[in-house]
Amino acid sequence: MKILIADKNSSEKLVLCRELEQQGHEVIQAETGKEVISLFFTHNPGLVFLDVSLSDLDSSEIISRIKASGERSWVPIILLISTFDAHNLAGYIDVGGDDFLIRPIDPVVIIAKVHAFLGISQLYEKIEQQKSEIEFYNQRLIQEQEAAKKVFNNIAHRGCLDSENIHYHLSPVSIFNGDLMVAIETPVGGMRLMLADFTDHGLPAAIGAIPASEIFYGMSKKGFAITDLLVEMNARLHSILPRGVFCCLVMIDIDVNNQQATIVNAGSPQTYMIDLESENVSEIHSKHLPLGILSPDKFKVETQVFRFTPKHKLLAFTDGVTEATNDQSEMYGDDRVLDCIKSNIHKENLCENLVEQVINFSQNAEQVDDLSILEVGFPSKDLTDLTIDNNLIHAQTGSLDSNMNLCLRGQSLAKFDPVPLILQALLECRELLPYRTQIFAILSEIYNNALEHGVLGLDSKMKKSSTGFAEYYKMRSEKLAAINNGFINIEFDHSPRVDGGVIIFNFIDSGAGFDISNILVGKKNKYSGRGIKLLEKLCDSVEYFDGGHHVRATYRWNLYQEDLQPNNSEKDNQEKKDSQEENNQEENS
Amino acid sequence: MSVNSNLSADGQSLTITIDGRFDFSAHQGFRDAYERITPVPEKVIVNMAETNYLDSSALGMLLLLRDYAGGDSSNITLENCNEDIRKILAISNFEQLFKI
Repeated sequence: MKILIADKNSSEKLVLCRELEQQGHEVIQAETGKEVISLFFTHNPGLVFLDVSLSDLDSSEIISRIKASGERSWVPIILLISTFDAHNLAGYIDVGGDDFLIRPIDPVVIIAKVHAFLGISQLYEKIEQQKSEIEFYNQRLIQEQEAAKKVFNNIAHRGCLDSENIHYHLSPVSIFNGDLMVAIETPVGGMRLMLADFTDHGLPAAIGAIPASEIFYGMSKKGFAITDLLVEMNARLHSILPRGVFCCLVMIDIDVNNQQATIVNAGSPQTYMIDLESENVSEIHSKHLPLGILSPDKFKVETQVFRFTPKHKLLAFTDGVTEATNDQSEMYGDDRVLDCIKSNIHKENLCENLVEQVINFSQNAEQVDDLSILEVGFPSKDLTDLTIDNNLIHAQTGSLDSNMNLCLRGQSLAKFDPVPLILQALLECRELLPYRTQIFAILSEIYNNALEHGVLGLDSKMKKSSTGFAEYYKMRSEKLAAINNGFINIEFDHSPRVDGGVIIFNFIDSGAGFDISNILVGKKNKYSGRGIKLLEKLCDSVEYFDGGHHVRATYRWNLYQEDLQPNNSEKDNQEKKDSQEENNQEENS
Repeated sequence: MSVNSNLSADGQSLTITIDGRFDFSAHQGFRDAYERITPVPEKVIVNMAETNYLDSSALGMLLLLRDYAGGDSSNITLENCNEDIRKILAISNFEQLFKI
């Protein structure tokens, strides 16, 4: 080791040097304070012996200067003092002196001290090294988390979160903590949303988020119902995620056509349904284990269906909101949330108000940045304007001339939704892609009628009142679970025409049929009338046979051309005017 | 936060007690409480009389315990849960997997 010695007493200094050199150390000698400092910086010794009675500079100053330079290394300073200087000792130690020796100096003691300090120096170096390593890995971690954040952001913004009817708040920390918020427009002009909370944070949470969002977007676009989606999501997460990692979520499906919302809450805090007209706020509680825990054969989805009109709003959030604490360690809690909602119920942006209140509540507390809040109102898109996806045209001709027949019997009706399948088969004919939304609407409308009114015999007049509404869906699940006989036969026949094609749909169900005349002739039944009117608008013709349990819909389409108006455009505009008038009348009556 | 475990004389019943916050810091202690016990006890009781806080990492740990104790054939009881903890367990519907 290099040792710097500054000693006025030259004979002692000589003895010291000799001893140290004999031990194998390199010795540098200084005589004045200034020399000490300059030699220290030029030679970088590992240890310094400092005589405190050097004449030119104050020893405290020397010690401070030496210690000030040592950010990454520690150089011990051993003070050489006589008994006269002993009372200043405390002062020297304060400014950085590490040890002292009282004259006369015993060479044996010197050697021992050097040895001891050598050990400590090595320890210090080791610590510095470990510190560097930790800093390095920490940097890596931070980078990984940045990457995870970007992944989450990309996932969230693929959908329609920025729609007019949605207000949301997603803070960076909550994204980091595994919160995911996605929304997409469904093929029938409705909207589907999901707020998910993956346990763990950073990259491990992102691992679950990616397949979950792929399933969400992919299956929704193809027209799958949320039940199918959740079954698939649970299965995928169950197989991918390690034990002990799971996903709490709430999923909302808004059916604009029928003015209802289907909600599934799996392990998330309660979602709030707000009725702006009656100012009633109801809570939708979690009825499932979070996703990813149960194996596929044990996982069952329980949906809750509610009326949802332009006078309704839904509010959902993850546990960061209720668990936000203030400096008295109180949590924001459910009661405050309810208060906030009730007092701000008519505000346009309820989400913002809630955020503000939570932040105010926990003002002095550490982390209030973990907030994910989603507020959804009724989508403002005019449903009658079922858009044509004009960016989906492909040149290939597919199944233009074809016929398909599918018959679902008994329990299959309960367990399987054939609409996405039929749609896919039809869309093999690429020219139909721009009309995907319309065809989906036709298929699901007739199928749902055939199932609910036809086979299950449910009367949609029940859906008029809000209690009747819940009853209706309860009965629907019960009857569906109990189905033994009964069938629905679906057939489509697709044949080419000069500049397009015609699809004839034939749906036959085993039910007693329903009284079409009631619906068609002026009796305004809010919940069932809409669907049939939609059908009539989209199709060339809709015919009923056998008391209504055989429906034939004929859909004519033309090869889509950019400059040409879409199908039934004049019919569209007239219908739009009619339905707007109707809506006004309904509102007033 | 501390975790204590107590195995019955016949080795059939294991009681794990958690004091304080049941969160990520309890991870190692909790695992140690059951992992080295063979054969796997028939019955496991998690006593939360002194537990004042439960978060999602704790839920994860309970799932790991359940897996160790036989998954679907496990017999685990969560005892003496206070109101807040009951609430969290209710939201997650954990009564479908554990006796509470």
